[in-house]
Amino acid sequence: MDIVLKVDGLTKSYGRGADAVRVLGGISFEVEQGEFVSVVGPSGCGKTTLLFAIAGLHSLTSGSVRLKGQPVTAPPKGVAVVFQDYSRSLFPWKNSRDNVAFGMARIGGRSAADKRAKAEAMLEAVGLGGFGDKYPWQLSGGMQQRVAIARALASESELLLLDEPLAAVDAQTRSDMQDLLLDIAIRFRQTCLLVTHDVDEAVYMADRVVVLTRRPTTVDHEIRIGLGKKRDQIATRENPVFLKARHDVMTSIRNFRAGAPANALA
Amino acid sequence: MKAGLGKGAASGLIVPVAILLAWQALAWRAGTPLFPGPWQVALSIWKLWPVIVGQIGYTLMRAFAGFVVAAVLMIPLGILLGRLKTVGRLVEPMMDMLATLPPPAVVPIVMLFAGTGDIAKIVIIAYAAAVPLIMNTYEASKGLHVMANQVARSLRLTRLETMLHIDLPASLPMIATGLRLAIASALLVSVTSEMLLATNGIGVFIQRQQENFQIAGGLAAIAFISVIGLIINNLVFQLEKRWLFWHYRSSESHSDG
Ligand SMILES: Nc1ncnc2c1ncn2[C@@H]1O[C@H](COP(=O)(O)OP(=O)(O)OP(=O)(O)O)[C@@H](O)[C@H]1O
Ligand SMILES: [Mg+2]
Repeated sequence: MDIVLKVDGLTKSYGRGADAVRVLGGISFEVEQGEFVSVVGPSGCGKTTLLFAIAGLHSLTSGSVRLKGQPVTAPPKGVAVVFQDYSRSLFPWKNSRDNVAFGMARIGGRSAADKRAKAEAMLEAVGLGGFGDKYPWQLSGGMQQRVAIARALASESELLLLDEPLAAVDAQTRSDMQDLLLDIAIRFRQTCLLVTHDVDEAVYMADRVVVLTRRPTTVDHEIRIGLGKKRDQIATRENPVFLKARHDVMTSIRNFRAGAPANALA
Repeated sequence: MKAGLGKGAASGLIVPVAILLAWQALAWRAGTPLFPGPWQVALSIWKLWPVIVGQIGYTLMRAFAGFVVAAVLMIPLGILLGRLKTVGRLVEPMMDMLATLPPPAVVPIVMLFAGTGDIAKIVIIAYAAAVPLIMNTYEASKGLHVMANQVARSLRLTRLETMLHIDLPASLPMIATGLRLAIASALLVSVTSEMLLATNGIGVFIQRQQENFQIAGGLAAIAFISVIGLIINNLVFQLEKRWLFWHYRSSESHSDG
């Protein structure tokens, strides 16, 4: 199998000198072509920091990130990001279609009409067919995040990075959108890396879960989720494989929290 | 609220009409050309309008030129300074200082370099219009959320594309405020600069009328300027509704919860 992403000994500190805070303390893992990998860690452990480093949006303190063998130093071609804060990631002066088409801004050799047509197709793929003329502020939170997902898909990336994309939507929308994301991942053979603090979501979505420790964050262990690509909100969540994996991850996370200093719990 | 607008406009006329009537009554009692009433002013407008329109042409043209120069230079500069945080912080005190300097104060300096012709006046107008434009654009651009920049970078936009497609539209609501203030300043300073550097234009016209005790003629010109100001204001308002609907609508839907 081709390795799409290789993170090796990644560390990241914020601040300088005596004030420096080491957030990531040496993270290593890989993502293979076509895989759906979840990275799960407690709130504030540096998930966004990790994802931004992979996306080339943050500099690393040490270690390396390689995309298809190429070191990542700036946002690379072939990586799309769905941000945690969807309300700020869409542009209110553009309607959904133009927001999605904007995801193809740097993709050459396409006419504006082609981009619009592709944008419509991507909106269709996330269940927003016919919403192209609507502006973000006319849509619900879940719909806005679907527009952001459509924009990420439109750029035809090798790797889709998802930063807690469903953290801010209500529970019902959330499980619908988990299935939507899984469906998209299968249909577009999209390699995905999801970071989340939600253990159930991490296990439900992934082929493999990378479990993080508390700060300075490292990889505690990985588990393969042997459930196949097709998941089902009821059956999967009752499957012994799911339950066992969930138990395993929950236990690790709880142990970090119990051993965490007071400030890391806040 | 909309249903009552027609009625509101009608009742809004009561006060101005009352003032006009009172003014006319006082003018009759005074019975001197030094205190003309609205009727004499109307007669002056009727008599003088070809001259006034011609002179206002000069005034508006220079106001427009100065305004355009200021907008073309200051909007990009404001956005750039907002992005380059360190440079922005360095020039911020200078901007604050210039902002408190009244435009007529720069007249002698400008005269040294540019004389008293059209160029000199346009420079002064541009200076006056530049102040609210740079301040508002800079504040807007400085205040943009980091997320916008991160999205731009992850879409691999170039610096120029980011400024044009993200920073500019995101700053537009505040820039619009700056533009409105700049237009008012440009008109005001265009008239003032004519009075200081007399050649032609409505400012000169008003001055001449006053010097010759033609008070009604001066007031006629002032009435013209006010109407033009109103028309321009309305035009800007229409443009804002067209280009910034997303801003007003989205802040509405946010405050709804
Ligand atoms: N630019 C920054 N400067 C300094 N400290 C930062 C910066 N960004 C993040 N941090 C700190 O790094 C730690 C990790 O932040 P990060 O946002 O990556 O965590 P997270 O796991 O994504 O959290 P959440 O679950 O809230 O999304 C936090 O303690 C945060 O305060
Ligand atoms: Mg985060």
